Parts: sequence; structure tokens; C-alpha cells
Amino acid sequence: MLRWRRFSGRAVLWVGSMVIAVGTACYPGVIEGVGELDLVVTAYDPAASFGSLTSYVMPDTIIRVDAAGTDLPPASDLDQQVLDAVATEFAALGYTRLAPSSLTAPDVVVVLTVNVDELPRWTDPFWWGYWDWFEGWSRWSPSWDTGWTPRYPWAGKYAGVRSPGTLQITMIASGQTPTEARVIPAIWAGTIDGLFTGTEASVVSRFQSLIRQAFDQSPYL
Amino acid sequence: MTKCGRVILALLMWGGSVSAVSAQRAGRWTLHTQYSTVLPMSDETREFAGGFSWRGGTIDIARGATDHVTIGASFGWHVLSEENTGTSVFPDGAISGRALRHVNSVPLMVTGTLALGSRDGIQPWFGVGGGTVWIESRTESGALAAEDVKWHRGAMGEVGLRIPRESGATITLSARYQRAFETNGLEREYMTFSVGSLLGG
Repeated sequence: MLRWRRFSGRAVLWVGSMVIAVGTACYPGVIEGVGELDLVVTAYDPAASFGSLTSYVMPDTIIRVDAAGTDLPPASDLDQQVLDAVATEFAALGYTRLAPSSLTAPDVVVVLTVNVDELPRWTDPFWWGYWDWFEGWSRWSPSWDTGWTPRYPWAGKYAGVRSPGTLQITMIASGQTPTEARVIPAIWAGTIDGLFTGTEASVVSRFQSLIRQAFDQSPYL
Repeated sequence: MTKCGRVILALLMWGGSVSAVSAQRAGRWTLHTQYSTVLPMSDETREFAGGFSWRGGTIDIARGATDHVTIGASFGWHVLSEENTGTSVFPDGAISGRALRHVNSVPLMVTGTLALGSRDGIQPWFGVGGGTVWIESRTESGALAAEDVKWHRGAMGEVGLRIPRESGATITLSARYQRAFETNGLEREYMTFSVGSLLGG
């Protein structure tokens, strides 16, 4: 009995020590610091039928948002180059771009935002305050007005903060019947962390390849 | 070897000094604890976290069915980790850029082993197992952490050597192939190389 007690006691200690030693090594060497990396994050709604989407409308503006969620005036003509790069990618996928004044409803609306301050989340609950001026909503959608918010099916999968200057490209199924009350169906988002930081030359040298990467890693589009 | 590895090895040697108590294996319980290193095998696993890992542990509890055959259960915790600039693909998205990518794998298996030869000498053994594997695939950068957690069906095959010591304890060396079968488009595959201590039996 004494021998068994000694055996079992040491065995428990031994197993416990092993578990602690392995457990403390679970996430070694975590990177510290924000904004030092170019990071491209894409997420989508697996239930969306991307194969049936052929047309889109994209407002010719990139909305800038501060930490309080207030939209700010557009920045330099660099914005237009970024919008053109996004349009090029959609064209390469075979999408037809419709004018915002189109009477025909597009399959999706693509909107671009940049947070000028750090945001404590990856899924931006932006909506009406940024895009209420856009003329298409009343024609194509179920009148998404104040009180509607986008639903990101992937929310909760990504934790962290968005660096200042992060560009988010969001694809919204404009004509989709809402499945939940006052919920706008976001079906894809491409987020480029910290794109609009540094000098303009730095942005120019990076944005095309990073936008292309967002589409390259989204083969379902 | 890292400091963590040296600590684990020291614990292992201490564990090996524990005396075993038995005469016959049939009907007796054994506790097999192993320090495991981990090597990713499949392209999918290597692309996510391709580095060799010193972080792993495996615990097997078994009961002797005969003097040479045991039936039991196995619990493991195996970590793969690599900093790279690749693309992590998740079921509903992807992340590309410089980041740390981790795989935490916890296999829970029903196992069977067959040992050859006499227990007084070095014994080769073979093992198989089936069950489930909890896999967490995690991507971390300074700005973002994303993870995907799934349960997979799993299987393993193992070969090893039991090396008896004069004290009555047994040191083991083993190599285990571990597979977590595809779930929602994701599978993981790796080898563990372990040194351990067999108690009881």
C-alpha cells in the first residue's frame, strides 16, 4: 500500500508538471506592436451565391471615419487610384459596374471606408451616418435608413484592433431580402490593415498589390 | 535545446525513476507519459505552420489484455508554431501577411498496442488508435487574432521501444503518425517523436 501511494503521488506530480510545462508553451513569441505589418484579411458569408453575382455599384468616394464614428472629408486624389484598383479587380472577375444613377438594381454595392484612428474591432458597424447621401438605396434596397446595421456573418471569428489607416472594402447584397429585422447583409469584406499610413509614396507603392491580394485570396468571388 | 525543452527532459528523467510495481501485465494498468516533439507532415499543415516544434506531450493510460497486448486511451497536446508571411485560409475567410500561426492539437484516442519480446529486455511495440482530435488553428499579428476551432475524426499509428531500467521503471522512445481527417475543408497531419516513461503494468 505504501509503495502504491508513493507511486501514485509521484505519478500525479509528474503528469501535472508535464501539463504545466507544455501548457506554458502554447502561444510562444506573440508579435507585439500594431501597424508594423501589412495584413490583408478577407471574410465572406459562405451562404452567399457569389457565382450568380454579375453587376455592382461602387460610390466614387472613400469614407473616412474617426474613432467616434464620425465621417470626415475625403482625402487626396490617391483615393481615386484606390477606387480604380478595386474596380479593376471586379472587372477582372467579370463584374459589370453600373452607375449609381442606374435604374437597374445591381447585384451588390461595394463601399470603401478608412478609419483614421485605431478602432477596437474588426467588424465596423458603420452605416447610415456614412452612406445616407448615396442615391441608390431608395431605388434598389428596402430603404436602408437610420437604425439599420450591417450584419457580418464572420463577426466573432476575428479579434483585435484595426490600425489607423485601415481600408475596408465591403460588399453588400443590395437586393437581398433581409432575413433579420433591419439587418443589412454584408457578404464579403476585404480589410487591408494600415494601408493609408506612412507617406503617400509608401501607400502608392503598396496599395495595388495589397488590393490584388485581397481578391486573390478570395477565389469564390 | 530550448530552456523549456530542458525542463521537460529533466521532468522526464525524474518520472523515469519512479518504480513500477507488477509481475504480470494482463489485467494491470499502465500510465505512459511522453514528452513529444512535433513535425508537420501534409502540405496543408506545413503551409499553415511548417516549423518543427519542441512543444508536445502525450499521456496514455492502458490496461493489459494479455502480457503483450494493451487496450487503453490516449490524450495528447501537440503544438505547431511558425512565424511566416503566408496565407491562413479559414472556412469563411483568409488572412495574409506576416503573422504567427499556431496549431494546437488535442487528440483523444482509443488505443491498442502490441509489444514483442520479453519484458526483461528491450521491447519493440506497435500501436494504433482512433477517435477524435480537437484542433485550434490560430493566426496572430500585432493587430489581429483569428482562430478556427474544429473537432475532427482522427487516427494514429505508432512504433516504439520500451527500455527497462534496473530500478524497474521503463523508458520509452516512440514515433507516432497522427492524422485529423478533413472537417469543413481543413485537415491536419503530423508526426510526433517522443521520449517517455512507462509506469505500472
